[in-house]
Amino acid sequence: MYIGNRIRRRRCGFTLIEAIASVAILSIGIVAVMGGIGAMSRAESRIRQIEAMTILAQHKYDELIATTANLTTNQTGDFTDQNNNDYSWSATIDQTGVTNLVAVSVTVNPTVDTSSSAPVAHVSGLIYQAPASTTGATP
Amino acid sequence: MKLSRGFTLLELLISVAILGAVTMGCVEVMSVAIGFNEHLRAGRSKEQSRRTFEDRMTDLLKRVYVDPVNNANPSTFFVGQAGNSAPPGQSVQPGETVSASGVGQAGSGATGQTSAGVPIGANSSGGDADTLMLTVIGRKPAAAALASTDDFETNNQNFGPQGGIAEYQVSTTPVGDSQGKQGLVLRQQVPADQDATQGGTESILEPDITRIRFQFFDGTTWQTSWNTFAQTTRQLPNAVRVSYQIAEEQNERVFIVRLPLSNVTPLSPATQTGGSQ
Repeated sequence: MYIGNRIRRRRCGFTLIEAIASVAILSIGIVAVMGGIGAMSRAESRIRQIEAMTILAQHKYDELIATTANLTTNQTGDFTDQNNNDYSWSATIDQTGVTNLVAVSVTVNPTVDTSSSAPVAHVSGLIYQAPASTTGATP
Repeated sequence: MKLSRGFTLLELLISVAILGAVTMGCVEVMSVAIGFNEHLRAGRSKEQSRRTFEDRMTDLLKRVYVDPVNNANPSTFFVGQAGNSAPPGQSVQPGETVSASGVGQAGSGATGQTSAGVPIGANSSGGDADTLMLTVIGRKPAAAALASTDDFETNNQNFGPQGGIAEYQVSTTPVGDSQGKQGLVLRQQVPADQDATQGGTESILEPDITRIRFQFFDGTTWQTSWNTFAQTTRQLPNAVRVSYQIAEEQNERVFIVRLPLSNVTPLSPATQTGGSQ
């Protein structure tokens, strides 16, 4: 009688509870994978954004030292003159203590995303600003 | 008896219906995902080619060199001017190289050294220069030439002269016969001769560019043209602003390159640009 019962139970297949549990586990797995893919593509787009911002910062740095007569004051601006409304820049000019030598740092931020986790790009360097007239040797 | 009866028709129908709905959903999601992936990939490769183009232009402009003393070395020049509008039916296709058929033969009857031979006509660059002719130093030698163990004569024959001053022209209008190809054309001649308008070989730098224009910073303002042939003391602009239009994009892309070999600064502006106004 007991053995017959076991055989009967075995033939039952899965119960509804078991099936639901397995589907739940499976769906958790699928959701995790989907989430992973989403995070990956988000990370990629962020890296691309930072890359674009770094290039913008590099060009802005070049432009600043090429076109500004006296780099003494901090400056800010955007890239609308380059048909780009997504980012804005700010330049910090620090005195180094050495005559005619200033430290220029250009930072590019996204215009819309102002949260602390927003991507940011920096380019900085030391600029020698030759005085208008010199009495000594040219550098 | 009751256990071995199997599924009823109703149960089967329901299960098949559910399965069908789920499969439809999956297929939908998959097709959207594949389309998105394709889109991303295409965008990435486009962006990559733009970046490559900007890098190459930047690299070229960073090496621009002119001899400051006029007549001392007439093979160096920096000319940016408007008016090189494309004659109908003359354009260049992607990925192909056009030979400008050697010195003194290519070109539309341009003679002499100056830009006078290039017609200043209607163009879409809004008065800005759309053609840049320049000489550079410090070009990278070909990797194959560096690795070669052949003697000088053989290398010179295979790779052409290395080092020295090279002449380049950047324009959407090829000098030679383009055989119906379009895009931004780079003309290269090594070593540079005194003729800025022709010679060397042409190739497509970027096939998607339909228009390019240049502006030159003389230390005070942005100039629309620049011509070292017309200067008594040759000077380079302090910076060059490059604006280019991609065929399928609405807005121009812009980037600015500083010329490290220029002696012009905002505190000591260029005395003359020599531009053809």
